[in-house]
Amino acid sequence: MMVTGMALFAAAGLAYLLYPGIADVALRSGVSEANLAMFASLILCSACTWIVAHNVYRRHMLVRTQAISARMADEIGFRDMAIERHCIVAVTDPDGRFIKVNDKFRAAFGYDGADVIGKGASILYPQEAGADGDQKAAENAGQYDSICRTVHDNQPWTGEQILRRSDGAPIVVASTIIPHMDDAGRHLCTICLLTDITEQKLSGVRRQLGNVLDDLQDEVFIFEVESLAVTYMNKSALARFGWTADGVQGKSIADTDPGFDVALFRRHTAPLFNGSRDFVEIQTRQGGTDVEIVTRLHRDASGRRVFLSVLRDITNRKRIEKVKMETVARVSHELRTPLTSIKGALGLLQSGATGTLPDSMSRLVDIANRNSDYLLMMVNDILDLERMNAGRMTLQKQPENLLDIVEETRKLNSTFKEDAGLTIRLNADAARYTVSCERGRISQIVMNLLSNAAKFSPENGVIEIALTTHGDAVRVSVRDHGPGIPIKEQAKLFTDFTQVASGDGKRRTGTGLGLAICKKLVAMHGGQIGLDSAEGQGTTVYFDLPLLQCAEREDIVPLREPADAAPDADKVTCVG
Amino acid sequence: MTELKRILHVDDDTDIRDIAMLSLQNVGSFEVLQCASGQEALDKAADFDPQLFLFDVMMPGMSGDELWAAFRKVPALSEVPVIFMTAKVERHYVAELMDNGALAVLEKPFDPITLAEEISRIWNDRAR
Repeated sequence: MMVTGMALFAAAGLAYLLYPGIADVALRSGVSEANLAMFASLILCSACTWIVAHNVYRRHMLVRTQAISARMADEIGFRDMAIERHCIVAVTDPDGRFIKVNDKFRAAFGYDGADVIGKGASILYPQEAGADGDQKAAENAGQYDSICRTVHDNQPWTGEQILRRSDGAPIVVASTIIPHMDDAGRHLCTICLLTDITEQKLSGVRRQLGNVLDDLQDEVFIFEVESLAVTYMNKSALARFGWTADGVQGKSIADTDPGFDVALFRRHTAPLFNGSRDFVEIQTRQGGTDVEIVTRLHRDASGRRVFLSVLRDITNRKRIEKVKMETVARVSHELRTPLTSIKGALGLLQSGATGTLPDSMSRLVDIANRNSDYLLMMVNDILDLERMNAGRMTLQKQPENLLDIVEETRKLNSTFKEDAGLTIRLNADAARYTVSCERGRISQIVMNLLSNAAKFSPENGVIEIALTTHGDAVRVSVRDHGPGIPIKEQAKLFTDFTQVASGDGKRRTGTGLGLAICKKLVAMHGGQIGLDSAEGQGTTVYFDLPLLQCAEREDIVPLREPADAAPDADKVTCVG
Repeated sequence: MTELKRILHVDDDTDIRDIAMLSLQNVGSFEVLQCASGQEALDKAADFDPQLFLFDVMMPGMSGDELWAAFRKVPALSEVPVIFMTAKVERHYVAELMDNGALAVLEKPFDPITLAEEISRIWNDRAR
């Protein structure tokens, strides 16, 4: 069309320039002047029309081109913006080092741009235990290697990954990793487009957990801290009360039990608020069954603190505990009966009631007697521990002078003095320490500590007992000068059936129950037990009991002189 | 105060009976009648005229506390006090025996050297 217009325009121009000549020729050829004028006008009009049309067309084309360009520009901008806003984008060089990252990347991974540029992409991969550095760790990660291989083969990689933020927290991403090659097939860079799907995954997990919680056999209650209004009960809990999930609205936790005492509940849960306990538990009966209710503080989805209580039917556990306790009691009884005969017979022999024994025989009887004592102690320990673990041991506490009990126990031990040549010293910083306790149990604790100290003491060693006041408590400590206990063994010392090696590497005989029992007994008296020990420097085991009264504290004087000067320092033997 | 001389000891375990006999007779110089069961004790007690019962608790057939309940129905022996010896050392169990009027509950294994002395002490405390 453009060519046609130009031809017409050229013809019209030429006709105009040549018009006088042409007109002369035409007139001479017999063409009338009127026809010639009409022809000339026609040509001129055509030329003018073409010029106008062409201008209109050009303008149209320009507008159209501009519109397309603008739209293309918009699309490109939109795409960039969409990628920028939606995606985590990072570009790495062929060696996997970051060249460029977008804001989303920085926000998602917790890195400043400057921090991350030049670093290897492996920093995003979880470190393996024992790896000797980020790069090494990432190289060990199978997924990272697989991605590298794929990208170097000029293939894109797509998949889900669990990466880690700069603070070590995991982040789940859907990744598309595209290599960018030049025409010669050289790897120029790698473009990584990641979408953070952590929340998506978590909500999936939460949904799943919600379902698990709902189907849990234990009863679960969530209720508000102030109003005690129930916000959630799982299926088991709803079933117990015949409620529906919708019907829970408007219910209080107090509606679950006619005997619910709000004040008592507040006292019960107080330790959760002062931070002294992570959870509180109570065993009770509800609807004819034995139940255990564990309550803790929990933050709900909106961050509010709520109570989370889990109620568990422990009827079966109680039954098993009862059977176990009865069995232990029965076994204990069955063992005691033959022990009565053995100990009785040996005791009579040893006493000379049946005639004097030759020395060699007497020594053998001593060995048998000592070991039957040990056997009896084991039977007693197991029975005690079982009682305590089953919560069936009760104490008959009354105010006692702790010093009297310790002194009495020391004297009991002194009856064995001829055997091991040990010396027991006793020091106290007051004349009377009144504590609420069961005399026999405190004596049992002291006896046990003395027995341990004797076991670990060197030949002709010294054991020191000290009673000292510590604020509102009195501390009884028993110190030996044995090999000490290595630090790594100390933590195990108060657990059931634990025998630790001492600093000399030797293990002494014993049930491994003594200190576990002591710890429980001390706790039942409202006290605590502990130890100080260092290899080669001996061991001090101590227990603190709440002091009711410390008489004559105003004139605190050592009751006993140091043992070097003490005329009644006794020697004991190991009895356990 | 009446001096304690005659003790009726009932225990189903032969060895323990032998040990107790040595202890009470040789160490304590008591006159002791021993029986292996509650029924035997009920049959022989009247002739022996015991001042004190010393009963094991867990015995087949008739337990120590059942035997004591039976003796309380025998007019001539209904006032004879009892000391139990038991390997069943559960506190509530001991408390139950004491609540029922036992003079004492001695724990097994007992010390044969001090058993006679212990029994004498309990007897004398009761008389006071």
